[in-house]
Amino acid sequence: MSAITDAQFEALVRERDDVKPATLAAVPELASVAGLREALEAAAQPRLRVVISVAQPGLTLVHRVWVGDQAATYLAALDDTSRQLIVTTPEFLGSGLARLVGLGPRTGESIGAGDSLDPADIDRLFGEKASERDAALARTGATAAWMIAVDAENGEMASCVLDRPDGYVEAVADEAGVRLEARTPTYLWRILGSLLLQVDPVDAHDLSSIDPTTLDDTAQGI
Amino acid sequence: MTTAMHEGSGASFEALDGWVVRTDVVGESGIVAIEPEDDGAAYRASLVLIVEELGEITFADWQDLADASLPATLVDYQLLDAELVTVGGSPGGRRLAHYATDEGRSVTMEQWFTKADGRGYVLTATVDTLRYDLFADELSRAAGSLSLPGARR
Repeated sequence: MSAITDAQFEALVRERDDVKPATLAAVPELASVAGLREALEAAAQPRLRVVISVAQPGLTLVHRVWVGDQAATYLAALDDTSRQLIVTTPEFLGSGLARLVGLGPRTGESIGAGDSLDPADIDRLFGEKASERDAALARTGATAAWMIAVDAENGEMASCVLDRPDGYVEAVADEAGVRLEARTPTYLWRILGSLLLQVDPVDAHDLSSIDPTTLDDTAQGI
Repeated sequence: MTTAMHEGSGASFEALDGWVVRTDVVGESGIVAIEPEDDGAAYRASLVLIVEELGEITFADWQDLADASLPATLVDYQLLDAELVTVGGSPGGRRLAHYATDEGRSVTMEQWFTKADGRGYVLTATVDTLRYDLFADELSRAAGSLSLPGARR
């Protein structure tokens, strides 16, 4: 795992077939990243792309993930400019995403589930103005909020989840507007764990059948 | 449905259709039901019921020990959900977690556990993560079928 900038990562992806010594020298830790070649190939030719924005008071982190035939490549945001490059086998995608959003047990029932949400608050939660983000978090009673956007070969999906002390709620849009639906961690895990099925199910089976020993030490999640 | 019964305690559960019941995997301490090999899955899903004598150990202490030992024994352990639920007619709990197998597979583990008449009962479902969503409802139904004949109702 290594700290890297977007520009450094993009250079690596461009040069993936013959990485220049100068590019590698800028991030020397990368030389020891197992599965780097597969990771760069996944970013160059992804079967599935995921962008996760995690809004918290004072900070929004935007993580990017690419899933290819041999690897899932995570560019996990440490702050606005610094990233951590992580590589796993594709079948660990759900686990990696769950760690990025901090999925875990929540106590209590989601008070307010079924309430409506001002659609503009979703824009504010993930917008560029920190004051509006923090105000929207406070207004919705959320300690954090995540927006997950998935772009696969056979479709797209997006979901906004509020992480509140009393449980998770998902913003669900319908003709009447946007309402909040209570979601258990198990419900959310069922979605995250099966995201690979967003690519063709037959191919997804192939991806899950990759021999993990072909990527040394990469199947350790995040 | 296939009934899996633990001879030592009389506890039983209904396994998934076509699953194979094995008595030779965990010895006298439990009973195993496993997905048939001919389904062609890279990882065979399973349900394992383990029965142990707890004596005076309280339910809370028993589960605190489990919460402490699971991350230490399972690679990449990630607790995803936990709640108090009725199991086999007795107060108990459920936990959902992810870990990596020794072979580097991503698996999802769901456990239902309870203490009744001094015995601890743990039913553990394990399935490769990609297929957990496909199996989750059926595994939950299997857990709901858990019968503890020796337990006070």
